[in-house]
Amino acid sequence: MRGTKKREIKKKHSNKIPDELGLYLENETLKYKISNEISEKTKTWQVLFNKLKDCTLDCPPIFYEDGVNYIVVNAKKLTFCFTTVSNLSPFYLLELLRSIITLIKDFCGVINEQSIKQNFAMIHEIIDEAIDFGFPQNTQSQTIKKFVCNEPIILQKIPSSQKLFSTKEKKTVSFQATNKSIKNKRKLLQKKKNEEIYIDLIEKIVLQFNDTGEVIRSELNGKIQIKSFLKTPSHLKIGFNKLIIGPQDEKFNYMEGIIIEDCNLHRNCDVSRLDRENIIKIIPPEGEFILMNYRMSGQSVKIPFRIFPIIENISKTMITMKLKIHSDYAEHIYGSSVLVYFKVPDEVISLSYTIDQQKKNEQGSQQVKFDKNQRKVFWKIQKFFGECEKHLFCNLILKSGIENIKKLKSQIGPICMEFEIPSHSSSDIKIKSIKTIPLNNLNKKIKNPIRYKRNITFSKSYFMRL
Amino acid sequence: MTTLDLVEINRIKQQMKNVRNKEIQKRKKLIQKVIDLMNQGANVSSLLPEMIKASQTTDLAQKKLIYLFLLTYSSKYPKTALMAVNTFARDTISTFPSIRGLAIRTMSSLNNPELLKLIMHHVLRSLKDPSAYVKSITIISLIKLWKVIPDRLNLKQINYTLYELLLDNDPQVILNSIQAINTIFHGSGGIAINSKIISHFLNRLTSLSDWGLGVVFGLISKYAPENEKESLLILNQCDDFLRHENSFVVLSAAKVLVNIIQDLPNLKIQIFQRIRDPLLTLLSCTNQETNFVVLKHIKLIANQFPQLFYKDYTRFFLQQSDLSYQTNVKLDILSEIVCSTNVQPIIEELSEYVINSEKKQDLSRKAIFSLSKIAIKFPKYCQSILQALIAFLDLEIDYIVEESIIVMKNILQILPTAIEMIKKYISQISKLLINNDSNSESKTSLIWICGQFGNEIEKSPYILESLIHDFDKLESCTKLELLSSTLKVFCIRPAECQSMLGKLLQLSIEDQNNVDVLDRALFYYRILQTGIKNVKLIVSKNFSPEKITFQEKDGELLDEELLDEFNSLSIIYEKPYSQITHNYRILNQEKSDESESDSVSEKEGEELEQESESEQESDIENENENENENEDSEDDTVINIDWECNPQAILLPNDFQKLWAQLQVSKQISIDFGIEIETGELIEQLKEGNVLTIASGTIQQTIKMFCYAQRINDEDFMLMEIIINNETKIGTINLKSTNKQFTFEFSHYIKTCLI
Repeated sequence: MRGTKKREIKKKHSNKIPDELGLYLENETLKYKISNEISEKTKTWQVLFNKLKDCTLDCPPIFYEDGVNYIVVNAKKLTFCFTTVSNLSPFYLLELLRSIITLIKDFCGVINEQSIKQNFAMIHEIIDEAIDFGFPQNTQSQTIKKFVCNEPIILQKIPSSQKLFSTKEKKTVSFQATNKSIKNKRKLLQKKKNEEIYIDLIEKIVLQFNDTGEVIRSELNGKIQIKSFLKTPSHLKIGFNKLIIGPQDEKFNYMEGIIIEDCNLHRNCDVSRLDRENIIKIIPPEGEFILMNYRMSGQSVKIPFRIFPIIENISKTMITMKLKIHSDYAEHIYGSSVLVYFKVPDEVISLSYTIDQQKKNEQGSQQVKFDKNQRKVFWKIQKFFGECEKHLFCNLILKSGIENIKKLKSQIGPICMEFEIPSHSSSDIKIKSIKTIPLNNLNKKIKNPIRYKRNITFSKSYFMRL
Repeated sequence: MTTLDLVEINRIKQQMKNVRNKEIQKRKKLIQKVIDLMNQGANVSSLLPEMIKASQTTDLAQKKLIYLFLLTYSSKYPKTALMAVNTFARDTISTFPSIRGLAIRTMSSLNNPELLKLIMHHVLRSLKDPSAYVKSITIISLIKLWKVIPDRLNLKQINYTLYELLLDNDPQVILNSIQAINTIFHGSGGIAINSKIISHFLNRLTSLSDWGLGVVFGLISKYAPENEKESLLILNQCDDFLRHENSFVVLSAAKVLVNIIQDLPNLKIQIFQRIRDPLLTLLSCTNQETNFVVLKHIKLIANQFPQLFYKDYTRFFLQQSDLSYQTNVKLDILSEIVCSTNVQPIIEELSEYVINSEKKQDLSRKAIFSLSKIAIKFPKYCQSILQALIAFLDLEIDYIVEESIIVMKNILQILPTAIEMIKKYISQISKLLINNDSNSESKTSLIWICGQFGNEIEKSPYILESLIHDFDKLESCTKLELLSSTLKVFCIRPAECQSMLGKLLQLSIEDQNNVDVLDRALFYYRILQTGIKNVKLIVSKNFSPEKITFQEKDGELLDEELLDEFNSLSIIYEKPYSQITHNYRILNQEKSDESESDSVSEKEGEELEQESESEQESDIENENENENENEDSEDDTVINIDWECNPQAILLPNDFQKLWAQLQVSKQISIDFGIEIETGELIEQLKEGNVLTIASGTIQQTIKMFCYAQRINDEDFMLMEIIINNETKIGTINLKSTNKQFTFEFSHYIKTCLI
């Protein structure tokens, strides 16, 4: 977000028109226009630029200036903007803008400055089909695909290391595997396995501990995201373990299963067989879509990491701290890029630490750093296997002449964590089976498409107050 | 354009002439090159004839590019563009729907009336196209035609056709027909909303697209069900869509529920209860932008029904990734949903934001402010909040102390008894504040507390004394507060304060820069001369604590108004949309109702009159316009104007100038003329009403005039400054009068003169 801001401002100053790229949608009731030039003439850009530049904090997603409403969405370090003069629904505007972004992603494979630049003509076509004179038309990739003539130019990617990885284990593919266009005919025809479907179970945890280690807030936001490259229209049946959708009432207590507090579903989604057979059915549209968003809270959220901080001693010269983190998930999986950080008082001048290495081969996988400008201590753990503990002892050395020890203590913390744990779901929801059945059974020759499923748990906000 | 480009263009031109029909790829490359040049900003209009010629191709990709080219240049070169008509005409009868659709979409987008007149019948014919894709494009094209050449269309026929298309099988055709009817027949209220149409849509809900659902729910929300049975039927239908993945659909369905409960007030809370869960799901599952909009909607509901969110308070705690716009709304919601079970954790959480905001001062200040809001709204929690505030003092962080003392003052104004808790800490605060360059508001608050509670705070005279010591550094508002507070303390504890009051008065009187301070000091000095009794009388009058109101009543009205605009941008701005766009509104109003447009506000103008005018002028204008709406109803009543002007009134320019400087604006009137005003005409018009112009001038688009009038058989003069902006066609009159009681009548008189 910050990065975008900076870059955009830089563009403005450089004033090299042909190199600039922008995408904005302008309106009367909602007229759109793609511009690849940022010139003085286009007022929308100017207002948007000034706003991005002037906002000391974050630019609000919706603002009003000179009779025009601006709706700004940031996606992958790019800024997309809609303008309108009417009092429309903000959800409508945001959803429409998001669906345009999804469309561009479906066709280009990835969204970044370069892919948009290279596929400008195609994006023009897409938006022409999706919005006509400000009125939304069909915004489904599948339908639009018929009317788009330009072939996407796909950016080169996939570093060699990842390729090695995917040949080693045939059943997995790299994370970027879904970064491909739904409309790349030639490439797909060459390969035999042109029917693929990816099902992702993505969960984000919000957890907050108080100073005694008690959980005062635990929430889980999950989504099941599907990216379908199926060419033959088929039914998709996804089997889960026992799910119960409903609020946490007493009446559910005797039922076994995972209780989902509330969820919303894709419109084509059929959950009538969820109760008895634990199956969700859908005829998946092509491209990326969300099958289901769900949320849980309280005790049904499994806590992946527990934090045990002990502030041993605060003197006028030094603070001694001990930090223990315990992982609470299956032994064979590991959290990657686990980052633990906490703020220290302004008076801290340096840090000495010891890390407790459990196994010798793990050496070098942990790093501790003290950032003087941000006044934060960072502790990075490359691989954090389940069912184990990591320790950090640190001595924070203070500059001399401090009297207010009470103040010092209040300035430590909170201890925050960022992590991602692949193949783990904190809700315990599991995808047990994926089946596809072609709609018209006449075509029995078609092979079963390749189905991928992925599980991942992210931290959204994970911290403990001291 | 560089010469290089010119050479390139000429080269392409030659090549395009030479390329043969069969060389599709070659031509495609050339066309692509042209478009690239165009996108880079080069003027490639000289290629227009070649491009039109090339448009006869059957290749869709080439056609698209050429049409893109035509769209860019057709308005600049209308005559050459006419050549394209034949191609368009041929394309509309092509066998491929994609080409038919493209042709119709492109040609209706050419912003060229001449061309549109020629191709109009092709568009109308395509309304009966067998392909739904072409049909839906054609419907939108109708709107485009209507914008450019409305008088050429047979609206009656179109109306009939569009209503027929509502019965079509294709969801996109239905959606576009609704949009077209709403746009083209906007003047007559858009689509007819009756039980027949509504039930037609209700039966088809599942086949509609997400956008279609949203639009249809928008229509249903305008419909007033005939009986309770029908209401419940609609409620049940919409209920299913609250679990939709698209937030627009969810909120549109929610809006239907919100509107229907206006007829079923006893269900109100249940309905909001029903909306609550989907909103919370959206809150946790969406990206930051949507999250922000959901928060704003929750805030609106929480204002009315805080009990719905009592249990969910932790959901509004801040997250690491929250952006500033989200945090602000979250803090607002948190201070709204306080109850006895969650008050302690909420106060603890807010306190954390104060201390550990990682150098974000804004968040700290906002959190302290939220705490004070809770204290004032729920006095029973005051004690725990004050405890939290006192705990901050130990941190000795400047801005926290500053903000805390301001908040303490606000709390004390409502709950004077709270001083018992605070009084021990006042001297500690004063030390922190006086030594630092803290802002004047915090110092003023400290002084106010010392003055108000001179008895309770043992050290108050000494605190004041140390401030008097730094008198020169203070700002004038702080000085004024210092004067009155010292006087208050003097009344209670004369012995300790006598000498410092003397010193303060002397300093104030010597302070030549500040008339207000001098004025008040002299006033106090003279009262003191008449005896301590009078001083006490004044001080005790002054003693009644001023009330801070959060405008609760207005807030409720506002919430009601905003609920009507549920799921619209007004919720984001927290104002009815009409207030945000008042300038645009005034322009539109002129069309609908001329008699209302010149409405005048009175109260607001008079209240503000007491403040210095020059600064406030712009504010007054705004305020007045905001007020207009509320006071329209007043202006509807016919007022008998009892006013006649003296035709022989004489006021010399010099006298006018003097009077103008002496008097204050007693009233401001804004008039919407709706037409461009010419100075000479206006002077004549005013003269007919015996209002004489003394000076006039025009700067750019703005006319400025000074005029005067005198009441017949009377001495009093009315002076006015008329400012007319010819761009907005709105005039502002600043009225000054030697006798204020005539202001009202005269303001009506002048309006009748001008219109």
